[in-house]
Amino acid sequence: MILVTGGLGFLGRRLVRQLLASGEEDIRLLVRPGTCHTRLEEAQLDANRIELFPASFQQAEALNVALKDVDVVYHLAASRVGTHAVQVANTLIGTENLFSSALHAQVRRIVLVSSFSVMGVQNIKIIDESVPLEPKPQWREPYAFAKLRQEELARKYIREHQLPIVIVRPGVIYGPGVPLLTSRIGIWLGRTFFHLGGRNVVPLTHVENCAEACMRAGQVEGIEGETFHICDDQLPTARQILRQYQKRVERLRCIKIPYWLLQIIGQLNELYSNKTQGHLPLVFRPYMVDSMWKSRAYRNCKAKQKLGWTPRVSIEAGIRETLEFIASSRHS
Amino acid sequence: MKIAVVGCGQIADAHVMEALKIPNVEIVGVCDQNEHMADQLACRFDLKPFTELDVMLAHTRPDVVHVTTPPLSHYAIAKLILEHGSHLYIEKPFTTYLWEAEQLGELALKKNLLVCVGHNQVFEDGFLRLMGLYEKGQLGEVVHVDGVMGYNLDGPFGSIIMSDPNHWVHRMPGGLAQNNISHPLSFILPFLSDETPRVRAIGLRRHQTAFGDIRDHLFDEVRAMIIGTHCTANVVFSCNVNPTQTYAIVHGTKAHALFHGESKTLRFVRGATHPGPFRRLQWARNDKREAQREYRRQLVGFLRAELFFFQGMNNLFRRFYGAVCGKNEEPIPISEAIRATRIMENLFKDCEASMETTEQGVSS
Repeated sequence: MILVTGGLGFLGRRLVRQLLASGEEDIRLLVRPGTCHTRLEEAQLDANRIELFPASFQQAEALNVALKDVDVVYHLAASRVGTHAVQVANTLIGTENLFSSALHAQVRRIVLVSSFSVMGVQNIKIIDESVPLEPKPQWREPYAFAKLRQEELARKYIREHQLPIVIVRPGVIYGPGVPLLTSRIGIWLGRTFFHLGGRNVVPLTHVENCAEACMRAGQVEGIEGETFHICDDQLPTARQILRQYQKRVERLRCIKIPYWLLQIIGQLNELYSNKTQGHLPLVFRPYMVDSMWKSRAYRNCKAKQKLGWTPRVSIEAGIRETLEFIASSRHS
Repeated sequence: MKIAVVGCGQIADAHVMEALKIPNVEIVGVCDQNEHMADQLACRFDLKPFTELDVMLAHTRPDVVHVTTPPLSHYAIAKLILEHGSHLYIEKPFTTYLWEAEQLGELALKKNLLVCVGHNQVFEDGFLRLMGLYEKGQLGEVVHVDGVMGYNLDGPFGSIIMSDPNHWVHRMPGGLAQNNISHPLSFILPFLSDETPRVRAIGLRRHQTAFGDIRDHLFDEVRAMIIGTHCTANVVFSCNVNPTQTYAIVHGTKAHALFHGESKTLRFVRGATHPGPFRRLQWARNDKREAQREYRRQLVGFLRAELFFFQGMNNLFRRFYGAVCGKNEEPIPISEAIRATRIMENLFKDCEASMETTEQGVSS
């Protein structure tokens, strides 16, 4: 039996489809209470082959029942919105309850889907699994903070309880259904798009590629306690993605903010915010500017070697498919 | 002054940030029964985390403790803090039940400690100016007040409540409305002199989603008429109006005034004296002048970096800390918190009764 949390989400539904395609028969999805079977149809999943298990991460007894006879857990569910307190309450406390139940149920493997945002990348040019965790969590936004604490918790369970956890860190997951112009490329202010940085490489991973890596992380033997970075090959820069978008979807009213100017804006933002006790939010903290928009290289060698994974959807094909989906959605 | 905070949920951020802006205030500890919640707050503001309240109280000996836990736990926590000898600031709603509020009142009196409830909206600049107009007699005698609050169930807090049947909000007798209605209720309290005004209320469930659990019992619309000896009030709570906003209209015998809780602005409506069609022009011109004055205030506030979302909370903290030090009077006496709790208890009893009557009517 396989248990998937977040199985109706953007990545989760692809993972479930790939698990079904690989021959897995017993798949249970842990879903929010009140979730009905129509959500399976919306997610284009075969309702006859999947068991829905409505339960909250706060219900310890329900989690124990959900994990009964479970062999592998794919833990994808995470809060993406809200304050630090909300995301810690949902993501971190929920994960601790799940780990506790998984320990009790003696599951064979837990695949924890983490994030690139947990790393402290300042002054680091090549990003791979050797990069240490963020040393300044107090400076990070709520999502990164909660995911960092979640990964620290996973390491604690590996170390102290020998819980067989494998950590998968996807880069920026993209594909038909999500906007391609993420904050790593720029931000919208009204109808104007502020293109930030430009030369920074965006660690994209196509959702199908990422789902396959997650699936393998639950299947390959002898990798307990390991961490894997998942990003595709031949990654584009933010500028290249924006050019493709303008070519295939629409011309944007676009203002380019180069990295050096972003650094100045970040310093002014921090100065003003400190002087006025937070009158304007610190969205361009210099530390964040460095983490998000500085040019770096990303490596995926470990996932290729140990998981036997290779990105099947190329960057060119993936971006083309995503932009065509965005363009057709706009026309319809 | 030494401050401690119990309950590290999302409103605790605002308490810590606003308290730290006040000179001579030190936050000596934050406490939550969950270590991760205590850690996330302590880590970001460089504070000391605790997971046991009595340990924090014994180690830090705070002058004032802020209680920002779910309302169902307010009574037990507040009692412990008062017994320990610290003054109390409690987030709204004060307590879940009236008997809890009354017992806290007795205990605070016995211990000679101050207790303040977080009715911070009435300490926003716009509402303080409205009260200034009232005290100067420019509104005349206030005969009626409308307090309105809109709530977005798809917003950051609303979506959490609706996705989780085990959320503490669902365990309160008045549910989501009980957690929020003290905002519009706080607007009307300064104008009602009665200790126990009559309350007539109905609760409605307009939402269509059938969860098959406790969430289906949530009142997403509440209408209440509060009838005092000299003044009446309507309190409206709605999860279906857009844009969501909180406001109060105070109707006096000379003029009326509108305080807007989102923009924190005030509109003073004097009417018009000109004859015939000139009256309409004069009324519109007066409205324009009011709007221009508020816009200028906001602009100056922006340039001076004074437009903070929780400015009212900051003003209330300063006055409460001042009262603790004996510098000024209590901003909200505990008797006012008990009165608000009494009105709310009657209000939600009436809502339940009205719902039972409606259901009986439908079934018969």
